[in-house]
Amino acid sequence: MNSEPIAHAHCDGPCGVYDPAAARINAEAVLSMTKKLIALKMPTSLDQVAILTYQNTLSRYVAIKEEQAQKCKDELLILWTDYFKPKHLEANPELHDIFWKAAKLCSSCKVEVSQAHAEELMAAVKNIHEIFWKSKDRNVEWMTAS
Amino acid sequence: MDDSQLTTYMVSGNSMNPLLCNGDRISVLPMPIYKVGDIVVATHPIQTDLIIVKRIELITSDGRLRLRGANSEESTDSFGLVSQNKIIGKMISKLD
Repeated sequence: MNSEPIAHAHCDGPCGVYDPAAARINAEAVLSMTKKLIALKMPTSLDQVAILTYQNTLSRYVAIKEEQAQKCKDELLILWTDYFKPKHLEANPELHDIFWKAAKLCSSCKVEVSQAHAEELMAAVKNIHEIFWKSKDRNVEWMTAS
Repeated sequence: MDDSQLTTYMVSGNSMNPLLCNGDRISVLPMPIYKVGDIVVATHPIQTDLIIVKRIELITSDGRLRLRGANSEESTDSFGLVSQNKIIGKMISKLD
């Protein structure tokens, strides 16, 4: 009798736990950081402390925006490729286009400092939220943290 | 290589076909870092008493991993992203 431990290679053992809320939180963070970047004032003097503070804050805002946009894309891709099935595509023929454009918006939000694109990303995630919950015959209210 | 950390597992299931088949025995070693394409043994992120063998499909910018089977017919879903601390080790070799 073999006593070696078993490493299971059946299906991926899906937990079935998917929720567009994860992407929504990331998208909200992207919008928040974009707004903060737009509102950030450059120092009006050559004071070193003021310049360093400005650069440090700017760097942090950019880094968080970059990170959250990538996480948003990751979460969207998981929903797209893992949750949604061919039967959902029948009910939503535009599904691929919606996800493709939403993922593209995540990239735009990294490349740019665009409040318009960050707001478009939020709208895209909201649309996905509605499609997702409708596919589960559930009415889950869209709400934001901020 | 620190052989004292080497563990042998028996594969159960076909999600890693044709690389690994049901009943294959593999040697697994913890690694400091992992890369896309590595075949790894990991603790299932939800069913924590379940040990799984999968391939790393994606590593996100914050270091989380997406694991997937090699056989698309048997491995159609994923369980989302998992953290590196769920990885037990990388498959080093398949034993005869």
